[in-house]
Parts: sequence; structure tokens; C-alpha cells
Amino acid sequence: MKPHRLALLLFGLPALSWADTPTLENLPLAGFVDVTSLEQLGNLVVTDTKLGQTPDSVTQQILVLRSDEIERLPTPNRNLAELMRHTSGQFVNVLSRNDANWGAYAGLGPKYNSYLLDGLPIDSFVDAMSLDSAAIERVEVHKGPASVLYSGYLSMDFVGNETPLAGTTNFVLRNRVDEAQTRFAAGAGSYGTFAGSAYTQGRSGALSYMLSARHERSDYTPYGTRGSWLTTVQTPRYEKDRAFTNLSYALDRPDHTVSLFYQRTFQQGNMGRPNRDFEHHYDTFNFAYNNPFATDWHLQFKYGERRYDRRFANDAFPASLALVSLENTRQTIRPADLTLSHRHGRDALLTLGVDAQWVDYATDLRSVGGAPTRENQATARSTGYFVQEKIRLDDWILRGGLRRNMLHNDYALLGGNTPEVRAASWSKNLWSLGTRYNLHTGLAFYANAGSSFMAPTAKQIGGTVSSLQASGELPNPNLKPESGIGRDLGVAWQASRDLAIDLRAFLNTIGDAIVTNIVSAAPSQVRSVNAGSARAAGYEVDARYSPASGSTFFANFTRTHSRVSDPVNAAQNGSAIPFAPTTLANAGFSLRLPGELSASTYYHWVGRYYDSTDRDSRQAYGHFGVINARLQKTLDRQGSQEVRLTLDLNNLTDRQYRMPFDFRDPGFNAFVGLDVRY
Amino acid sequence: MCATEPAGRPRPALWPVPWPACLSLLLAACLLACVLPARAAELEAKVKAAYVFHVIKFVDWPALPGDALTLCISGNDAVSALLGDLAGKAVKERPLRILTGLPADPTQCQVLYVGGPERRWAELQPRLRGHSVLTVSDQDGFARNGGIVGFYPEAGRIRLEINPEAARQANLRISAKLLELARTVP
Repeated sequence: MKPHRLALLLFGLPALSWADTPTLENLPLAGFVDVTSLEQLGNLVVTDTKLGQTPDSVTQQILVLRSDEIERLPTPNRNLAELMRHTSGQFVNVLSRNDANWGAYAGLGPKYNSYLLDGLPIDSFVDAMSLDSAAIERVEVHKGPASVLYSGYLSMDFVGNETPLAGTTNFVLRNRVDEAQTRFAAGAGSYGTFAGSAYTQGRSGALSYMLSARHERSDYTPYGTRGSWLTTVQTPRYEKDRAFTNLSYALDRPDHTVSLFYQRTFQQGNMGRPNRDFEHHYDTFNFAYNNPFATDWHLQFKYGERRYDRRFANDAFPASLALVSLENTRQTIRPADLTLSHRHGRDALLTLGVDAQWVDYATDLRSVGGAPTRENQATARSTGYFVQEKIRLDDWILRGGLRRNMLHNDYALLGGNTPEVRAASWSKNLWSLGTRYNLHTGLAFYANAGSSFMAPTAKQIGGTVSSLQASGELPNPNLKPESGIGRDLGVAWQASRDLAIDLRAFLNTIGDAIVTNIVSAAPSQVRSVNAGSARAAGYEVDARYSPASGSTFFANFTRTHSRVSDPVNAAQNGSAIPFAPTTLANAGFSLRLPGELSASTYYHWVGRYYDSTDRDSRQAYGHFGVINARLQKTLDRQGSQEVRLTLDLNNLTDRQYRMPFDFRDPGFNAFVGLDVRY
Repeated sequence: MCATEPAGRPRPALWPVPWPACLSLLLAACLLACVLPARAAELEAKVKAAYVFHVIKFVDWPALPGDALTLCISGNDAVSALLGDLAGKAVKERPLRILTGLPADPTQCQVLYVGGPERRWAELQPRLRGHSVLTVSDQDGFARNGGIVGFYPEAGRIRLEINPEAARQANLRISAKLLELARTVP
């Protein structure tokens, strides 16, 4: 069947739908209570205060993707970032199954939208590629600035730090099990992809446990543009193994808990050439202690470790396919957070605490036959003190917060050289304000504003040149952090029990923007300076219709206008912010059909975007639409036992669109899987 | 170098799905809106009954009987009819015992769900005073009228309201987690 006809069939499925099919709400009460939690019933969100809050008391717009929706969402690249692909404002740009998400949010590039794992920062570029969705209870997409309660991520790799100016996305871990369940899944699909997983959860007294193991291998397919550095001469195979354990122990009450989460991911393969192997190890650890020690007081302590160990082999393509060097990047990031919450007055919540982060970063390079040499070595640490007060005055919610953040970097080695500048420190005061007015049941207006900052990268401060005659980046010890202010204004309207409509406008500005300018052509030298500013303004419109049958229809549209000002460099003065599309649109539905069949179809449109601010050299991308679909059929159901067949049809219209850095989407692909749970 | 899309390549339409697909989507949405059975009341009762079960987990009694936790059901509304399904479910490390109908001594109940007319609650309230009985009802304003846990609708969802003073008088400890999601009433 031609993809377009298949698309027609899928979009025509609503005409067959009716409600008399088994759904979660059709379960008998005893089963219903097993699959729902207090948080689900209460529709709670935690990201705005670090404690569960009902949406009508939250000044920010927080979109929640729950576990049942997560199971329906297509993730063609097996990347958790793809769960947010069909939400407004989000540009998710997963480059391949082996590569990071290089997206944007609210008109700003990937550095200004942070990710959290249960409230502790993770890498918004990399970690969504390794984490397992089975560990996630729900995803909270917090729109607008969140820099008072959450620090930035001090990653020294890729493009450096990440900060929650435009928003933050919180992957909330499952933390309590009421019923034992075991699941086995296996499937196969395009590109010789095979995947299998085993998951079990249970409870022993006060201990809830979850264990999971997942294996995936694929012959994959060329995913680069023709003639680029991603050109392949053989099948670019990969294997990915993931295992996690999640333990939660209730000490004396169900809400006084200690939780441990640990995941190890091992990914290896080659990029389609004999000497372009890669081998990555990721370890993610979260510890949490929760104690509501009095009716009005709640203490939380969280500590995490994120270990990244990435090894790449390099050839001399196109001149030669022979092995040239082996590259190893190691980074360990340890975030910690201590938060005390005090409920007081009629309905007020005071949140105060301290967080910290410690980072070790090193890269080694080994040429063929040679010994490894250290290329980069740096450490970083940060401490933040924060306080936020939220009060309710009848129909008004008022929120205000302050943060004091101190950051220190030490650079032992940059680009193989001892840098001229060995250390840098910054201190910043941040603020946040928000208000919400509940005009009447279901209709609310809200506004938020908050500041943030982004430290320069190590190479921008310390430089990479060994001498004044060498090529590379010149040091700039006086470089200031980029400072930003995020603002939003919106209306949340629950028009009826089934229909919700949201409208949100945003304005994000970056001052002291760091731009890299050419200083000399021979030797080739650049220097980063605080010479610019950037501005992204736009609006998002969301509509969601969820009739009681369990079916959902949605559509959203985002329009953004962005502009970079750089008086020093005319070529980029007035350009659009890179990686931020002018338009994003999504539409889709998820239906319960007769015969225990469910169908989900998602359409995603991306407008024009660029990979750089330099108008002379930037490349244009976007202007494409993609349709993904998922069909699920329950083959057998007896009590808690269920056998389910899933068919994923991704990129139905076979759009092999270009992405930055010479990546290309491989187009139509399919996957069929069988899931047994009991 | 400035590499944009190849010259002459037609720009894809904003909506590359054929118009019949769009039309069918529109028709189906209209059809759904018109013919979907009105099952909201049934679901609402089930959500309230599930709340009762989950709320129990987040309340501490000064002492609990060792064999079972007793949930008494007074009245016969839609929620009362459902709660019987929870008999034997484990909660607070004990099986849940369901007593349909009000026992002669209601203070032997750890949880009392009050269904039906408001008059019954007015009669019951004095008999429970000073006893550790968690009272729950979906009567309008139940928590404001001296009950401990009530429900109220908001934006198409069922929400909890809790009377902390009534809980304190009953010597019950309400978890902060429960208070996070509830509206407290005086």
C-alpha cells in the first residue's frame, strides 16, 4: 500500500470508533485502583514547587504526559525526547538512533531548555537517548523560566552548560508499586532491528521494586547526506543494552520514603565505515529521601550521579578509511538538592533549599600506535541557594522566588595545552515571579517572568591555542555569562469536561550573548566575546478533546520570531536564532476501536530553521511534515494477563528530510512487537 | 557557502495529507461528539471510590485492629454500590473489610462512607465525635459540615477537600502528601 493511502486509512479510522471497548475506566474497581494512584487521580504536578500541586494552583503552564500516553507515543529513534515531539513549542530534532537531540524550545536553542530526572538535572542532549521509558511514571513539561528552583546543568561536553530559561522537562520516576506485574516484549522491524525486554515490578512489605533489562540491535541504515562526513561504505550496525533498577522503601509511613534508581546503558556499533566504531557507557543514579515530617513541613534530599564514557574511532575520510585515532570522553556530574517546604497560612507554600553540582571532565586522544594523550581536563562546581513563596488569595495565585548561584570552573588542559586562564568564577542573583487568576472554574489567566544565566564554555574562557602563532580559539578571561529573561502570558480554558484550549505567548531575551568572531585568517584564530543579544517571541495554541471513551484528539500550533543582534559582525546581525523553527504544528488522535484495537496517529510539521547565525555560511532546514502511527491490538486478556501486538509505522510519507551536521532522516520505517504482561 | 534547498524543487504543502483524509478526520470528530454514550456519571463514581481507597493509605490512625481495616458504607448512592468491590484488597497491610449498612456502633468502623441524603450525616455526626473514624462522602459541602474528606468538581475533574480540624478532633493524622492535592476547608 502506498504511504499516502495508508495515511488516508489511518486518518479515516475515527469513523469506525465507538466507546464500547475495554479501557482503563472499564476495569472493575478492584483493578482500577491497582492501575491508578493518588497522583493520577489528583492530576498533580510537582515541577513548579517540588511538591505535588493541583494545576489550578500553579502559575506556570505544565503539560503532563502520563504513562498510558507515553505507551502510545511514537519514538522512532528510541529517544525519550521524542515523547515531547508533538507538544506545542517543542522542536525535537533527534539526529539518529545513535545521536543526540539537537532541538529547540520557545525560540531558543537546546542549551536553554533543561531536562530533569525526578527533579535532578540530566543532559538534555544526551540522556534522553539512554534512559528507559519503562522507568518513567510521567513527564512534566514546565513551560517558561524555572531557573530559581532548578540550577543549570554544568556539562562541559558538547556546547557546555544547559539552563532552564525557556522551560524544563521533568521525567518523573515511578516510585510506588501496588500490584506485582511482569512484562516480556519482543519485536522486529526495518533495518534488521530486533528488540527484546523484560520488566518486573512488585512489592515486598514496605519495599517497592522495579527491574528491567532491554536489548536492541540493528543493521540500521545510512543516516547522512550523500558525500558528507557521514558517508557509509558498510551497514552502520549498533547494539544497545539497558538495565535499570528502581527501589523505594517506605520507612514508617507511605510518604516517608527512601528511593534508589540506577540505570546502566551500553551502546556500541559503527557509523558505517570500518574504522568509525563507537562504544558508549552511561550510568545514571538517583537517590531520594522524602519526609513530610509534620503536617506542614516536608523535607527532601536528592543526590545523583551521571557518568558518561564515550569512545570513538576516527578515520581520515574521504582521503582514507584507515584508522587515525581513538577518542575517549569521560564526564561525571554529581547533582545534589536539599529542599524544605512549609505549608502555612490558608493555602501558602514556602520552598527553600540549597543545591550543588560537581563535575569532572576529561578527554583523551590516542593516535595509531601511539600512547593516549590527555586533550582536555576540567572540573566545575556550583552552589545555589533558593527560596520561593507561593500564596493563594481567593482566585489569585501569587509566586515569587530568588536564587543566589555561585559557579567555579578549573581548566587544567584545553585542546592539549595548559591554558593561559586556569580558572573562572561567577556569581549571579536570579529571580522569578508568577501569577494566576482563576476567573471561574475552568478558565484561568497566568503570567510569569524569570531570569537565568549561562556560563561560557571552557574553550571560550581558556582558549585552545598553544601560542600566539597557533590556530585555534584565543582565550578571553573577561567573558561574562549570558544573561536571559524569560516571560510568558497565557490563558488556560477547560471549555467543557472533554475540551481544553490553551493559548500562551512568550518572550525570551538573552543579553551579553556570546558570539565567536574571527580574529585572524592565518593563523586561523577566533575569540568569543559578549557582543550580542538575542530575542525570541511567539505564541502557542493548544486544543485537546478527550471524550470519556478514552480517545483523544489534539492539535497545536507554534509561531516564533527570533532575532540575533551582533553589532560587531554584520553577517549575523539580524539573523534568526539557530535551530529554532519559525513554525511548528501538530495534530493527531488516539482512538479505542472495536475488537480491543487502538490507533494513534500523529502529524508533525516543521517550518524553516537554520544551523548558524552567519548568513553567509548557514544552511536552511525544515519545511517538512511527518506522519507517525501506532496500532495496538490486545490479542488475549484474562484478568491481569494480557497479550498485546503493536505495529509502529513511522514517517509514512517517506520524507527523508535533512538535519543539521549533515544528518538525514532515513524515511519510512516499521516495527512490530509483541508484549506479554501478567 | 550557502546550501539551501535545491533550486526548482517544489515546496511541500503545509498539509501533505490528501483532503479526503482531512474530511474523514473532521467527520469522525463530529460523529464522536454526537454519539458517544454519556458514561461520565459512572466514571465519576468509580474515581470517587478509587479516591476512598487511596486516601486510606495516607491517613494514620492512633491504633488499628490487627485483623482487618473496616470500611462501613452508609446509604446507597453510586459510590456506595461500587465500594463493595474492594472487599479483601490489602491496605495498610491488612485486608479491607466492607460492612454494607451502618452498624449499631459506627465507632467500630475505621472508615465511614456516607452516601445518600444529607440528613443522615446530621444524625451520625454527634455519635462519631471523639472517635477515630475517617468520614468520607460526596455530599456537597461535606467537609465544611464537619466531615473529614469530601469531593468537589473542578474543570471536569473530581477533587478532594479536607477538613484538617475535623481530622485533628478525630485524632487522625492526614499525610502532607494528601494535603498537597486537596483543598482544605475550615
